[in-house]
Amino acid sequence: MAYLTGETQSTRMSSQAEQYVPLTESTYLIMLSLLRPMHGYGVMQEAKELTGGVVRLGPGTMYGALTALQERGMIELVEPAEPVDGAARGRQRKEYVLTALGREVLRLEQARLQKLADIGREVMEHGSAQS
Amino acid sequence: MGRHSHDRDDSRTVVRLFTGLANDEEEEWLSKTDADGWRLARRGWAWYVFTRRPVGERSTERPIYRMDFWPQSSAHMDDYIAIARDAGWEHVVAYNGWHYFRHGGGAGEFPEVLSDRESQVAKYRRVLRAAAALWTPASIIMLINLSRLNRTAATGLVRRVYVAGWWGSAAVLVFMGCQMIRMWVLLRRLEKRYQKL
Repeated sequence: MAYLTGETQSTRMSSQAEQYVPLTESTYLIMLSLLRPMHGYGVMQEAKELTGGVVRLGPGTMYGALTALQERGMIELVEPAEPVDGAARGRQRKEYVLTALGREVLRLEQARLQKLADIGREVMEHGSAQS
Repeated sequence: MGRHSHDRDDSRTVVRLFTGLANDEEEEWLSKTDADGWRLARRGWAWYVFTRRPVGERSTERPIYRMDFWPQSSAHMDDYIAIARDAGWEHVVAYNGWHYFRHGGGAGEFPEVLSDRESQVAKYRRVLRAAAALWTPASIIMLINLSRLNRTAATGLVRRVYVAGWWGSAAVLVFMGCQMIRMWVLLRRLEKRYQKL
């Protein structure tokens, strides 16, 4: 897959990140939303907004993705800035954010999709790839 | 179909055996029962308890039930339930790893609980894996018991009870086996329909 991701970084994180690419469409959008800390429902709304309402993520799909991403160390829980007590804690939504590994996976996937889209456009407009 | 084993004014118990392997049929049945005015309140091994929709509460056009399966209880389940609630899905019942969600239906579009093919396939795989983990050792025990049954010294009524028990359990296992095959076929079909070229 190195030919698609441009310059090869021979760091350990890169090779670790490569095994998770390609992502599913849902996971890609969830990870894009989690560049900044956000709770589950916020991610669902963000994905809907980003795609102009085309992609509507369900709560089960969200939960499955959050569980898998956390297990693989691509996202982490954000500790609340100030401790809350009692009833407020019950209503508090868990917030997640990408880890360094998560950002690397997202970067690889974005570069892969970009490259594919570029090749596609060149071939369809000019009949062949220019470079 | 289910039989009403116990009926009161405000609650109703229906005996029905679902193994979870036909959860599409179960969802359909629960949605239909709710549309008739009976909401799922509890479920047991082979029975469901429904309560009558509160008087005065407007019946929504099409209540919908969806089931998800997470056999290992996780600390994040609270988060799932919160996300679902935010998205308009009420977490009704948890039973043996199964989670029942209800949406009132009504106006506007809303996302499915499992909105993409990948997460639907993943659910089927979790269910099949759990079913196989139960079914395989149970079948082996049944086969061992079959050879014991033939060698048992018991006679008369005791023997008849043994034999009847064995055949009863065998019937349940065959039923479950058929349902596992059905779910596997559904899973294959789902994967094939979206097969990448």
